[in-house]
Amino acid sequence: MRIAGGRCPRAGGRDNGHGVDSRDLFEILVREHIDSVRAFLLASLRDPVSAEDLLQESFLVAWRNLHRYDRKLPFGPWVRGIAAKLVLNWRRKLGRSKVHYCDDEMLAALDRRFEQFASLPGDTFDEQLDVLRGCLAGLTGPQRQAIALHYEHGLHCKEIARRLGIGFEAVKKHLQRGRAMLARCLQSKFPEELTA
Amino acid sequence: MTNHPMEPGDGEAWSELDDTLADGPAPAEVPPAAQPWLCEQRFIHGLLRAMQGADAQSRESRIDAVLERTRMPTAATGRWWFVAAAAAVLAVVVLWSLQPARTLSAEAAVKRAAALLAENVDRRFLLDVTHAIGGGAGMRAEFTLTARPQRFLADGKIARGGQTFADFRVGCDGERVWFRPANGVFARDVALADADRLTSAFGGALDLGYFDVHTLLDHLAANATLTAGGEERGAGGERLMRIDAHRGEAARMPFQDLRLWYDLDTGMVVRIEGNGERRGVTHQAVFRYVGVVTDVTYQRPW
Repeated sequence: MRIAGGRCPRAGGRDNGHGVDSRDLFEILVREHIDSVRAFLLASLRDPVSAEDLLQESFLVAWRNLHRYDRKLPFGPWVRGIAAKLVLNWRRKLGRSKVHYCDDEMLAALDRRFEQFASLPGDTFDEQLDVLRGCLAGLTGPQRQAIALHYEHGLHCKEIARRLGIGFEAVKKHLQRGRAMLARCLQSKFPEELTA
Repeated sequence: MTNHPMEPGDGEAWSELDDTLADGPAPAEVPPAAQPWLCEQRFIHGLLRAMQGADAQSRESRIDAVLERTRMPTAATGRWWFVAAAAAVLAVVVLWSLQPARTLSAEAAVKRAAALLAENVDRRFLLDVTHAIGGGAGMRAEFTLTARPQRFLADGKIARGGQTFADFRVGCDGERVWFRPANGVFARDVALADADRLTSAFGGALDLGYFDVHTLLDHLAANATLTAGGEERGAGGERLMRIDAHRGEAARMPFQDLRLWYDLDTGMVVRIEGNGERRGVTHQAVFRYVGVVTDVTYQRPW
C-alpha cells in the first residue's frame, strides 16, 4: 500500500474525526518506507550495526518532527533526508574514520538513485527488488558467484578468493563489474523521464 | 541513474577507491571524477545488502523496534525535579562519552561477530584449554575446531592427570554427536540430546560447549558486561579492537572474564582468551580464528 503524498497527522494526536490514531498511520508509513531507508543506510555506512541503529533513529526523529513535514511532498525522500543528516552527524562524531564514509554530495547522489528506484513497478520495496533479482541473471557466472558469496553468505574477498581458488584482485573485479552491470540493467528499467 | 558511459572496464581506474569491501581500502578523499562510479557501486551495494535480512521475521522485528521507540516518553514535564534529574542524566552521559571505552561499540562488535558466526559457513579455530586444581596437575586439551551453526568437527588430544588420551576426532552433524579415537577402536555416537552420556566418559575433561563459539558470543552480547579497550595491530597489521567481557557466576562455561580481539575490518573476533575459577579449579582457554574452510564433512566417518 502506498500513501500518496504521505498524509501524516501530528505526532501523538488523533486525526480529524475519522478516529484513526496517528500512530496507526505512522506505522503504515514505517511499513512502507523502512526497507528503502534501510537500503539507503546500508549504501551509506560500512557497518551494518550502525545502519540498523540509524534506521531506528531516523524514524524516531521523523515521528518527533511530523509537524514539520510538508504533507504535499512524498514521505520517502523526507525520511531519507533525516537519515542522511544522521549519517553526517554520526561521521562527524567519529571523525573521518575508516568505518564510516560519505559526504553531502555522495549522500545527495545516492538519494537521487533511491528516488529513481522508487519509480520501478511494484507496490513494495521488496517487489521492486525483484527487478534487481531479474538483473542478476544477466551477470557472468563468476560475477554471480562472487556476489552470492559476498552478499548471501557474508564472505569477505579474501575468503571468496580462497573458496574460488582465484586472487583477491580478481574477486574485487568480479564484484565491481557485477555491480556496474546491475546498475546498467536497472537504469534500463527506469522510466525514460527519470533517466533523461 | 547517471548518464556517463559505464562499460565493464570503466571502473577499473577507480577500483582502489571502492570502500564497500570490508577488507578493501577505505579512502578518505574521492576525486570528483570518480564519484559517479563510486556512487553507483554503493547504490547497488546497498540494494544487495538490503536483500539480506529482508525476510518477514527480521522486517517485523525492525518495525516493532521503531514503533516501540516512538512509544517511549520524551517530553519533560514542568516539574523542577524532572529537570534536575534530566540534568543529572545528561551529566552522566557527557562524562560517560568522555571515557575512552564505549560499551555500545563493544556490544555492537560482539553482535556483529555473532551474526557472522551464525552464517552457514565453515570456520576454523585453534583451541587450547587448561584446567588446573590448586596449581597442581589438571587437564590440558588442544583442538583444531571447524564449526558452523549446529555442527562441529574437532581434532584434538587431551591429557588429564597422568592419563593421556590418544589423538581423537569428535563431531556433530546437527543430530548426532560422535567420537572416534585415531586407532578407530571404541568409536561411538549418541543422539545430540544425549551428548552428556558421551562426554561423561571423559570425566568432564571434554565439554562440548567449547565447540560452540557462536553461542558463546551470543551469550556474551546478551548477558556479559562488555567494555571496549584500545585499538591494537594484529600480527598481519590488521586493526583489532580489544574487548573485555565479564560474565556472572551462572555462565555455563567456567570463565568469568574473557578478553576478545575484534577485527575492525572483517567484523570477526579473531582471538578469545578466557579465565575463570570454579570450585577450586582454575580454567583457561584460548581460541584463535584461522579462517573459512571448505569441503567439511560433519557426519560420522563410519
